[in-house]
Amino acid sequence: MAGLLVFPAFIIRIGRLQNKTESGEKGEKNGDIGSVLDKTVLLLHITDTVDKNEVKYLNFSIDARSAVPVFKQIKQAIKRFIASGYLVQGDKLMSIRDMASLHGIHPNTIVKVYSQLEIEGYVSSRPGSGYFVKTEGGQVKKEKESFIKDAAREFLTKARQLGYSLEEILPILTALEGTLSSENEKGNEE
Amino acid sequence: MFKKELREIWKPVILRLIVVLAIPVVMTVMMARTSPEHMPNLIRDSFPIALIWVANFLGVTAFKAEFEDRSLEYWLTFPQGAGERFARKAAPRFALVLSMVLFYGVLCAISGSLVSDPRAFKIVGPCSVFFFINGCLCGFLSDRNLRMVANVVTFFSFGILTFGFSRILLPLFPKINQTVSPAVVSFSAFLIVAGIMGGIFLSSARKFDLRAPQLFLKRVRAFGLPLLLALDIAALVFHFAGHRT
Amino acid sequence: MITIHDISFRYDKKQVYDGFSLHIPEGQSCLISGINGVGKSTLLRLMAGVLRPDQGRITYSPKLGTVPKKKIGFISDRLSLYESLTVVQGIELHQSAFGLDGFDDSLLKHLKIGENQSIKSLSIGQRTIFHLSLVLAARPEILLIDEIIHSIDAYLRKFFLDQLIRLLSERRMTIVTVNVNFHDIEHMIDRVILLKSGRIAVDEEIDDLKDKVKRVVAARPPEGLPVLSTGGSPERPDYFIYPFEEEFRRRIDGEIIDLNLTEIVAAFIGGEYV
Repeated sequence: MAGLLVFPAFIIRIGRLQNKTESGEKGEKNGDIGSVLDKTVLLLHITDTVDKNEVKYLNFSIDARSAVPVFKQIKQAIKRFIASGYLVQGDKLMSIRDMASLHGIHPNTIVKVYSQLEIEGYVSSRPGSGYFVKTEGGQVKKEKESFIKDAAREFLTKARQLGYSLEEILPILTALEGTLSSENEKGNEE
Repeated sequence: MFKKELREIWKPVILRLIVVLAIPVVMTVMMARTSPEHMPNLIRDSFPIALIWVANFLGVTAFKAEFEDRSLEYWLTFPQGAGERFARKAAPRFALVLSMVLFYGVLCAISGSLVSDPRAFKIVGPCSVFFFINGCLCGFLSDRNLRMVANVVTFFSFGILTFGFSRILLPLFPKINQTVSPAVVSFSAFLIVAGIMGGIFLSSARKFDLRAPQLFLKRVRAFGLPLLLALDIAALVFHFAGHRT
Repeated sequence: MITIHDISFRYDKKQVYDGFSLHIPEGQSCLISGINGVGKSTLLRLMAGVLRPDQGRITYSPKLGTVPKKKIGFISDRLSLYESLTVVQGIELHQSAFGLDGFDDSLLKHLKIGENQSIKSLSIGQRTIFHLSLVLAARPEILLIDEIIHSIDAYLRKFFLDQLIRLLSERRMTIVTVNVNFHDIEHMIDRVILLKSGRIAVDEEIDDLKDKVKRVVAARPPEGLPVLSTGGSPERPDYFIYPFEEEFRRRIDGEIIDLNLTEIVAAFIGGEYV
């Protein structure tokens, strides 16, 4: 692949309200989602007692050279983040205007992305508030599978090119998995 | 290096020199040919010429700014009806300049009573106005050098054609009193000059867009100035030929 | 939104357009490009009404009302304004000409452009933003922008685009932009038009164009395929194929490379020079 041009690094900014008074824990994920959404607007007014919006920054690159249209690339990236669980129900996507402005894209393109995601059931729009991530079990699982299959296909192709057989790869994979889990534990402790 | 720069600038420099020196040169020649007793009169006589020249110059600068390429392009983006609104904005500026010109004319008329040939001076006032208009037309020319040339040619054409016409008209209308006939002569000369320039302007401005100044320039260069020069030569020839008989 | 009907236009002894037609629908963001001198700026000026066609006519959507110029914003590559006026005088003149009541000078304040500065003394960047403020004040339906972005600094370029995007988020606008340098605005474009000798050589939506133009790096020149132009070096040339079709992939022994807009347009223009 002749040069994936990281042009530019994309950032999706998500506002997610922390509901400390409700659950006492940081980042409530699946419990009482309806009430979190319902209270979204209200909580915005209480700035003192509640933590400010947690902002998630997610990097991905737009390949300007690719024949895959820009809107599709953005759509796939957002779907990936939803599938991987990094974006969860209730997360608010960056406004159309801010997104367009940040990356020099025509707002119509962003509108296309968001409305297609809405049709496909990944986000829901609330007039006046914006677009919010909507995770439905079945959809996410399917996307997860499709993404991991793509990643695996790429990996296996590379392995083949380098002359590895499946038996030779497996020990490498297992070892790598081990390193990753220990790193993960360390991260969690901190 | 220097030679290259010289090559680029010699033309406009020479032209500018000619224009600047034209009047003093002419005046010097006239001075040389005038005897000492008439000298003060000569200087007084030259004064109005300088004033008319100023009127011309004012006309040029007043219009030059409005029809420079960039300003014109911007002006052309204005919606219809903006012409009137713009005129309202520009009118004060023109009115100011015009009043200055008339002021000069009045000054001349007053000072005219003090000089040797009062007839000539009574026409300076109107002359100033005529030349203001002439200056305006020249102001449309976007090429600076051509503008200067046109200025000079039209200015002197007016004078030369006046000479030429005086030979034709005065004998034709001997009954017209002495004060009016020079005015008629000058006016006719002015009509010729303004007619040619104005006619070309109108033909270029029929479909007024960004090309109009270019078109005007081309036609003045190709047709207007040569015609004026031809008429000047004819008038001079006619004048001096007449003198001899 | 804008329809050009069969126009002919002559400029400086050159017949720039002869029987040229084009339609730009509402809300489209259109890029016009081509080699220098092909007549792109002329076309934009014709659309703006600054130049009038010798034959044919240009019509606008009835949405623009009886006086279309009121809703057309034109920024020429010369950034034409009245040089001798000050900033505040320029604003007043513009307001008077376009019949505007207020003026949003936030952009000017942001860039610290003084009210009493003469327009002549503004830097190109300041002038560009000033011109943009003026033009946007009339809330135009059509924005015609001639290549001005590339001559200003990176910050102002981004600023300019931001304002454009902000406006596009609020309202629907039709944009026609002439650029030879469109790296910054590539993602703002819907449709690409390339002009050649007074005619439209290419007219495609940008996504279609990316599918249709590919670069092929191969040991041997591809047989029977529509080659637009060649690139690379004399020892190892590569070939730009247009229009590319998916079934070509089987026939090509080499690498097929996707291109960005700049490379695509260069490939087209390259064909003209060689």
